[in-house]
Amino acid sequence: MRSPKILFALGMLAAAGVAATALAAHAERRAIPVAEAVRAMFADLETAAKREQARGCPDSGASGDGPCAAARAKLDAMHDDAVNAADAAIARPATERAAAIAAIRAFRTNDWLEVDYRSTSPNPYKDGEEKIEIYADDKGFEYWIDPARDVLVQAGPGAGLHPAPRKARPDARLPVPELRSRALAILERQMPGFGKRKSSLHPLEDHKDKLVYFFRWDDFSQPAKESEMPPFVQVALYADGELASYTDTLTR
Amino acid sequence: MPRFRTIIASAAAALALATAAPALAVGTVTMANGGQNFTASGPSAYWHYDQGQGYCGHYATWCSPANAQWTYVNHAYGDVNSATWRNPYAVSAPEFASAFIPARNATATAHYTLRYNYGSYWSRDVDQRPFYDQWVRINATGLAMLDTVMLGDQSWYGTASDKVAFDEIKIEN
Repeated sequence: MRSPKILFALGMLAAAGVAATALAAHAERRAIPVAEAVRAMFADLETAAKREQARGCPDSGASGDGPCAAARAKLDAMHDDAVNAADAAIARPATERAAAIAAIRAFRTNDWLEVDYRSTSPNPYKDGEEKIEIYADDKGFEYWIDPARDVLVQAGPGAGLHPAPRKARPDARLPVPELRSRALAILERQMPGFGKRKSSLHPLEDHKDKLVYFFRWDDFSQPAKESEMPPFVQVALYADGELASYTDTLTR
Repeated sequence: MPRFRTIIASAAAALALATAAPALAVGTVTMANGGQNFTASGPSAYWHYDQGQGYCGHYATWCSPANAQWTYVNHAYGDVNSATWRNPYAVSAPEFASAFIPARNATATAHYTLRYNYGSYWSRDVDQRPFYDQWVRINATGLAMLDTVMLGDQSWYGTASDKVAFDEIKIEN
């Protein structure tokens, strides 16, 4: 799906010459498994889009329901088909994703939590080819699972899934030691032995407007790759103890 | 299944890297607030800057400027302050945008709009408050030719004291 760009890019990279050394500092090699059929779908999409642009059809945001609306709808349908096919080409079979859903339910201690698969995509915390599977529950939470280990990488309100920000009632606020205790309990459940391990990590506690409290441990023992963050675990709790977000980039 | 192992780059990208502008990795573009692919608009008096905060300020020594910027939310219709990150390497393949949510001054439910597929738009609200120095995915499903990310200060949620953070945007495919 990226072959035209790749050919162009390689040629341009060769021409870049002097800057190639600098480039190497930030370039990541990626293996991109792409079925030929999927590649063809994106090529067809590109061709169709260029044809509509040549015809003078503007962006959907500008055209509204004007004469280009049908063309835009067709392009969007082609786009969605291509994206779905691309995801199907790289995603694990649904049967193998059962372990990921089990991990999410265990994290939420809710065996009946409704969880839907959304996509497989690059892990923004890692360079290279590491992936995450994205799931969403019916409460507006989004979950990132490392498919290689079925480990929860991140959980929190998903974009567009939880638009009303949550606030704790004043009478439901918990003291910080209680919140810390709850955060550690979550971590101990997710990472057995964390209580012993945390002494080698750098602790950080903070809050945002005393509405969300963050309990974080960074691992600075190894120098992080230039474009990555040091591994960390973090539990964010609302002032009443409800989970606000969770991240674990420590577990390998 | 065929696999390709290659480096995507361009002369422009190489020049950008050589001048420490937004970084290009293969399949990944990280665009800094204040960088060459970033445009901010609105009254300058309403923009605030946290030096040493955000992804470039706190973690990535190779990118600049080393700050995060923010503004208060606007509860009226339309944006007063807004910003645009333009992806110079959009490709016809599923792409995923993530926003770095800084530790400080990121408390609003912010409205992100992505332009993709040669002119379609995808808008989502992201509650920034539950996140702290971490990446948050804006689009959970891939969007091809994701060439622009827009963020404004308009929000129907929260209070007038909430702050919208504008920091790095990462696009991966």
